[in-house]
Amino acid sequence: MIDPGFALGVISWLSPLLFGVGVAGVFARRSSLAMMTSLQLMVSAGVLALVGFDLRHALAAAGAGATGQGFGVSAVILLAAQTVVTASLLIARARTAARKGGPVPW
Amino acid sequence: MIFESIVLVVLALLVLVSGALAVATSWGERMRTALLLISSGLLATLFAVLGATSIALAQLLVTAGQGLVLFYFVGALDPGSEVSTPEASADKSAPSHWLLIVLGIGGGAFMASAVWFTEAALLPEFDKGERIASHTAGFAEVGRVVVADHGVTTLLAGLILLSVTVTAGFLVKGRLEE
Repeated sequence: MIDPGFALGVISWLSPLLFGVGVAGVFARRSSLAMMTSLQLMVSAGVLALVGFDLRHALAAAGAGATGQGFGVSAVILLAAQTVVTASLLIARARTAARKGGPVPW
Repeated sequence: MIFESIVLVVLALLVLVSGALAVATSWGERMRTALLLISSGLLATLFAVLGATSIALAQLLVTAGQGLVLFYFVGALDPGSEVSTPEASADKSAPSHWLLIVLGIGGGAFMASAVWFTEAALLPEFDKGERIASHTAGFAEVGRVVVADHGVTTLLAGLILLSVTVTAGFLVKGRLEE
C-alpha cells in the first residue's frame, strides 16, 4: 500500500497541472473532438483532486475514507454520459454537413 | 513502498507529458488525439495505484469507449480527412501561443488555489474531531457502502445509466439527421 501522505503530495501538484493542460487543450485545439477530450482531462483532474481529499480525509480521521471515491465514481459516470451525448451530436452534425456537400466540421 | 512511490511519480509525469505534447505540438491530428487518450489511460492506471480501483475501472471504460468512437466510428481522424486545425485554418483569429500559455497557467493556478483554499478551509474542521465526527463518519459510511459494499451494484447502475444515455444520444442523432 502506498504512503497516503506521499500520494497526497503528488496529487496536489498533478491535479492543477493536469487541469491547466486541459484548459490549454480546449483553447489550443480547433477540433471539436479534441476539445471534448481536453474537457475530459479537466474533469479527470477534478476527480483526481477528489481522490486526494479522500486520502486527506483518511489521514485526518483514522479508518475513514472512500467518501471521495464514491463522488469520484459518480463524476466519472456523468463524464461518460456527457461524452456519449457530445460525440453523438458531433457525429450527427458531421454527417448532415457531409450529406449537404460541405466540409466535415470537426 | 519506495517502488510504488516511484511508479506513482513516473505515472504522474507520463500523464502530464503526454497531455502537454498533445496540446503543444504541431503533430498530426491522429497522433495528438492518441496522446490525449494515452494520458487518460495512464490516469486510470494512476487511480489504480492510488487504490481507487472503482474510479480506475470507470475511467478505463470511458477512455476505451472514447477511443473506439474517435478512431473507429467517426473515422474523421484518418489521414486526408478534412480536420480543421490552427495550422490549416483560414480563420486568422486562432489564439496565439502566448495566449494559450497564459490561459494554461491561469487555469492551473485557479485549480491550485481552489485545492489550497478548500484544504485550508477543511483542515481545521478535520482537527476539531468530536464535534464533526458524526458528520464525517456519516459521509465516510456512505462512501464505504457505495464503493466497498456495493461496488458491483454501483458499476451496474452506471452501465444502465450509460446505456440509457447512449440510446437517448442515438435518438437525438436520428432526429438531427432527418
